[in-house]
Amino acid sequence: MSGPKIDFVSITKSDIEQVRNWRNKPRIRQNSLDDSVISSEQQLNWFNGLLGDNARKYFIIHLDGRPVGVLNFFEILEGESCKWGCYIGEERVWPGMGLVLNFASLEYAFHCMGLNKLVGEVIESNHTALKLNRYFEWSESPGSKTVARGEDVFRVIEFSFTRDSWADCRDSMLDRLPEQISRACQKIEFIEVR
Amino acid sequence: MKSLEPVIRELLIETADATDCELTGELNADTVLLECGLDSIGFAFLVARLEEDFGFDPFVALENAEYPRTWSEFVSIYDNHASREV
Repeated sequence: MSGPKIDFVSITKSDIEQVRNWRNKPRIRQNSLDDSVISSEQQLNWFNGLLGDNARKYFIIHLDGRPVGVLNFFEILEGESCKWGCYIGEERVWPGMGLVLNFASLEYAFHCMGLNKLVGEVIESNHTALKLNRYFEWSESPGSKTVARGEDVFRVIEFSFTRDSWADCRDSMLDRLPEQISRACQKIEFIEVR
Repeated sequence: MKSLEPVIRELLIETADATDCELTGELNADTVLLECGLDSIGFAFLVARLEEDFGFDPFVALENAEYPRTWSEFVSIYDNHASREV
């Protein structure tokens, strides 16, 4: 009777085909800065490159123990900043859980990694992610990047949060979130395999 | 026992309006939730609103963690929970 539980578990080699299947779905690719289709060989090379790379961390999102998506941090500059991204690859998920992922990214960046700044980049056509970041009151700037999708070109919006800002608003955010989401946010765990 | 579908549908439309979501079309049994136009924020507030109205959140005690993919599965979770409470 405790409600959905969301955990973030370090990616392992046994996850990478599942991750590739999610990453290659059209609805995921259309919101990714790099929308190329990934082959098995590319995926294996990518995973091997992660090993020992302290600038990147990939977690599998587990919903009640079942893998449903990816949360990742990259361009990690120790003690300073990093960027993050996430996607939910499965369709059978807890409705509304995207809010928990936004909260989790901030918690991990500031409480677990001790960084001062977290940055996210969102394609302007990704309305769901834009709304989530605006709900959490990330600082927003237009950025200078663009991405092409077919014949259309979209801006990439840059969102940032500082550790001090998160310290100021974390508790009020927990109060503002729908109650079931707030409860889930307070139960998240990061399980790291080093 | 009557299905809760009409109430859930009405509240979904209200929530979509309140959270600035544009529903993609008529909801039918096979509509995939991720494609219906109500986003993550919208669903979070819908589930909270339904708990206020019905007095329960079926996801708190979901057996086998069988989360919904479609509109009919979403409604069934509420109907099944309500039938157990009678």
